Amino acid sequence: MLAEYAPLLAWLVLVMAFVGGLLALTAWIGRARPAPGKAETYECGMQPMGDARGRFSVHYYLVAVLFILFDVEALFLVLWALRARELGMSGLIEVGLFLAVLAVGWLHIWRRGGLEWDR
Amino acid sequence: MNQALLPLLLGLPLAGAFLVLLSPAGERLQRWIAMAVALATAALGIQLFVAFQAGQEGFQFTFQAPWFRLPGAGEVQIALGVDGISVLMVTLSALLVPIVLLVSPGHILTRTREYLFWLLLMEAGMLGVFLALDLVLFYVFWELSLIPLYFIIGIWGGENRIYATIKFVLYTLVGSLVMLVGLIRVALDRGTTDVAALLRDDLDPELQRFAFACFALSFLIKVPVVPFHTWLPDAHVQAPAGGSVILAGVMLKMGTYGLLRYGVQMFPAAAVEFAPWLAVIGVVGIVYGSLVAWAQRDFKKLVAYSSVAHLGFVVLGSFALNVTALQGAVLQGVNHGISTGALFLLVGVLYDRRHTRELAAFGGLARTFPAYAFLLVIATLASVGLPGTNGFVGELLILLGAFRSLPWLAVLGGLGVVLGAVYMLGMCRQVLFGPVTDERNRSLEPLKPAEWLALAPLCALMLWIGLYPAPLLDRTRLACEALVRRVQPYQAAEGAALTPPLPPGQEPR
Amino acid sequence: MPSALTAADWMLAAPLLWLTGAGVLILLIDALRPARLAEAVVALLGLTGAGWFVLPLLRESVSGFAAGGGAVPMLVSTPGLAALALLCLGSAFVAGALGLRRLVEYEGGRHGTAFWTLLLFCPAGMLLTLWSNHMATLFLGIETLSLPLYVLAALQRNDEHSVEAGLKYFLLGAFASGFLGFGMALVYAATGRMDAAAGQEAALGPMAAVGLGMLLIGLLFKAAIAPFHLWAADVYQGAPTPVTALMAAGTKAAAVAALFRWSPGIELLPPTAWAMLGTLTLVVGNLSALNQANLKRMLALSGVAHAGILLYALAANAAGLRTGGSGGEYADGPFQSLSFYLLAYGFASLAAFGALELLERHSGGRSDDDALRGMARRHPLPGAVLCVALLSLAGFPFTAGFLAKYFVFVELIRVGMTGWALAGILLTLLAFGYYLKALVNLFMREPGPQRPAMVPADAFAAAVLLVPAILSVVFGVWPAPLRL
Repeated sequence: MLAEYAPLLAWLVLVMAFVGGLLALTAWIGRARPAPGKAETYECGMQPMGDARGRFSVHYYLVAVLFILFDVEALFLVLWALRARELGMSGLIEVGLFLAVLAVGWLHIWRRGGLEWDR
Repeated sequence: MNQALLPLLLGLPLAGAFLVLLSPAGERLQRWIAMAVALATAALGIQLFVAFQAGQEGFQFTFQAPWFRLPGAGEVQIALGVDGISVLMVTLSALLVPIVLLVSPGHILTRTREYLFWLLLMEAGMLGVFLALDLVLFYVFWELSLIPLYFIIGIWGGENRIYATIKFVLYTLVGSLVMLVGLIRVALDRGTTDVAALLRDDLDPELQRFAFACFALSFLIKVPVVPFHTWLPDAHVQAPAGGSVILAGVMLKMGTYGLLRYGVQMFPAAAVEFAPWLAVIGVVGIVYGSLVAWAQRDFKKLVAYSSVAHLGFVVLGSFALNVTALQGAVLQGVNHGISTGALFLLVGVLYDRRHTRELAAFGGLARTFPAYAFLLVIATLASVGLPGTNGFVGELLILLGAFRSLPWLAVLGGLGVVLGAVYMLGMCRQVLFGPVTDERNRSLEPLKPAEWLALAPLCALMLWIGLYPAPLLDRTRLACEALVRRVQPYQAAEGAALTPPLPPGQEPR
Repeated sequence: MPSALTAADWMLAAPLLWLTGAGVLILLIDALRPARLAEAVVALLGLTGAGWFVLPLLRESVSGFAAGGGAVPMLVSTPGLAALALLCLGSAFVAGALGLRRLVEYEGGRHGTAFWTLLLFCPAGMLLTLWSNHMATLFLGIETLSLPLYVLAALQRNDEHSVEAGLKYFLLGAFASGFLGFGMALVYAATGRMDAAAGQEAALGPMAAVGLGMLLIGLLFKAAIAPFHLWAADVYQGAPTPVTALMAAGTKAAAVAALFRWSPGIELLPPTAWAMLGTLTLVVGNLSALNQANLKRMLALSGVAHAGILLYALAANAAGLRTGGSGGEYADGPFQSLSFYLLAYGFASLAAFGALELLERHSGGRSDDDALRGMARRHPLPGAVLCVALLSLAGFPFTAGFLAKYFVFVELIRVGMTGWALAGILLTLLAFGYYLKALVNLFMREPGPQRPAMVPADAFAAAVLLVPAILSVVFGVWPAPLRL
């Protein structure tokens, strides 16, 4: 049974060898000419300003988490959509329930002010 | 009545304990409630003693109710019953508790409600140990009697009480946990936890050896014998007077009772095999306890170590394995409860007045405190074993019996009697006679009525048993004969039959 | 068109639907018309209602959600598991009753909604875990029970210990979930099966063995068994005490019961291995609990030790399976002893942590020995409850804790592992040491100066608290109804 995975293994080895080989090749062939300009942060051609370790607003994280939540839940809808006809009415009801629960969560977040940027 | 007597005896203190704990009554009323409960229990105890049929073998007043099912060991029963050995212990326990309650106002000054609760709970536990006829029930009561004393020493004890109480509990627990293993193995092997059935059963010798070792370790720690005795002086010295009385009077008897019932009677083959060693341990206890007691400067410690010596006698008597010695051992258990209990109360009387237990702090009390001197002399003489007191009867029977089966050990034990006289009388001389060294001893408060009421019955019992022990001996005889009959086949098998075979029912003397 | 749900399916689904439905309802209440009291009432009703739905499962074994038309049921409930399910629901109820005055009103009640919803979702996960007979339900259950706990542990967010507890539990828990998931994948890859019996096959290849090992590690972590117990002390101590009560009673029961049902094959782990693991856990738990100067931490580590004793029941079970003892009169003896132990431990730890919570309100939220010195004397009711709980945890007679230990050791001796039983019994002596020390501190020492109470003790919490304490004694005297 493991034999079925043999192509996968071969692919894995090939990828490793290719990436490793490229890296080794550049290190070997390429010439290193270090200069101060090259070490600088690239910021659209402008002079870099401020510190790269600046803090993001905590809202970014909140929004990111919410995005992931709803994004992942959308995946379920895709699965249902693929077989919507076969699943029929009961499938529709089940997905409706799922969306209803989701909607309650969303409503809660909204009313709690989770979507407001300025709070 | 006969059916309900034992459950009543057990339930009364248990119900009383919770009544005291939950009742909104004031402190005085609580004491009265507790006293009433204890007195009623004592009355039932006396009733049991009187109604006990001395001429009837086996367990009497039996009571049985199903409890729960145990995989592989059938139904665990709430089985109660008494025979000639346990009836004395039950009566003794029931009698001592009112006496302890009587003196408690002298030294229990805080948290009275809890004290009364624990005391009554302990009484239920102790009675349960002597009454239980089911291994699991026995073990449950065995452990239950531990917790109250843990709190009594830990809350109302002396300076070093927490060290003492934890040491006491841990020592005892080591033993009882090992006992639990033996108990489970026996129960699973025989498929029952019914003691009455197990006492008739012939167990596999290897199992007997294992189980006997497990059980005996627990009992020997509780008795205690040298070298497991070190918890005893600590516990005694730190415990309040009432706790000491219960500890000496009843707790330690649980060990000697266990040795007879769950050692000799349940595992006779192993008991015969180990008997000489255990008798040696008993004698070591006698001699060692006496010597250490001799060297004490603390009154209470002296009495505590004298306990070790006296219980050595009981162990010696138990493992001499003939009727005379066994009867002596049972009787001496009762005697020790009475006389050592009285001695601890007497120590408490002095401590309440002077707040010291140094022997050197006293002297000449015979002149300044004559009533006390009178009682102390009686208790001391009973403890020494002067003819006419209870101690004499018990020690005589033990030594007579032991001479027949273990002569050399009996000689050494006899030496213990002499040593006992030396240190106990030395104590008496120090406390009662000689010049009055401390002026405070001239103006000691006279004995209170409660103290009289507590001590007088104990002293009367000492003299009564000393002069007329027949009621007690009659009740123990058949049970002891049954014990001997149980071990005889194995003694014969060992090729060391120390007593001639005894046909059932024949007079053993 | 998937087949309709059968009656058995509905029996099993009802409590889960009820719990999650109530949780969603609370979210809705908060969104539309916030009312703190209504949320509390809905949550407590949700737990009670779920309990009511579990009651019929106490009488009979039910299997439901047979995957793929009747092959393997995904959820299986037995009377013993249903009793544990009731324990989980009950512990959530107790946690709610205890948290009512402190956690719900914390920061002006801002987190009340979160507290109540999570308190409903968490036992739903526990029920799933208990009944899981399929890797999908097991994983779902473990995750549903863990995620709410991560948040609940960190609920008191201005307390650094609480935040630390939440973060630590989350990171390590996620790691363990990874093990669990990967183990399941490997077992499935090797055997093509996802049911609980997959690990019981006699001949297992290396891949399945590795998979089962990883699955085992995931469960051992959740059950806080040495050497995967290191999170327990910090998390139990840092989490708000009502949440700790829920973790100690509920999570332990769910995880250990799942471990028992999923305990992998006879070949992989012989009885001795279980006994060794148990003894190790017992030694580590007891030794580290012995020297704690904080009651809460001590209780947490003693919980580790209790898990060690529970492993003895697994050892007895493995030995029984090995000797082919199945089908005998007492074949389910090991599970009976395990479920009795879990119930006894659950009651006792609910009572202990609950009483501690009430005492903490008078000690400024502290649970160290110094702050609790003599507290039982000043507050007799929590003191008495704590006394009963500690005695039951130690295993004194007339408490359920004693019979629980007794039953487990009976099972162990019955399969001939007397030596291990002796070792285990003697190791519990260490436990007596620290429980007695705690009693000494609470009852026998003089109390310190009185502090003003943070929150007044409420009659509701005290009344709820009495229930597990009384049950600890009742089942110690009359264990018959719990021998399921």
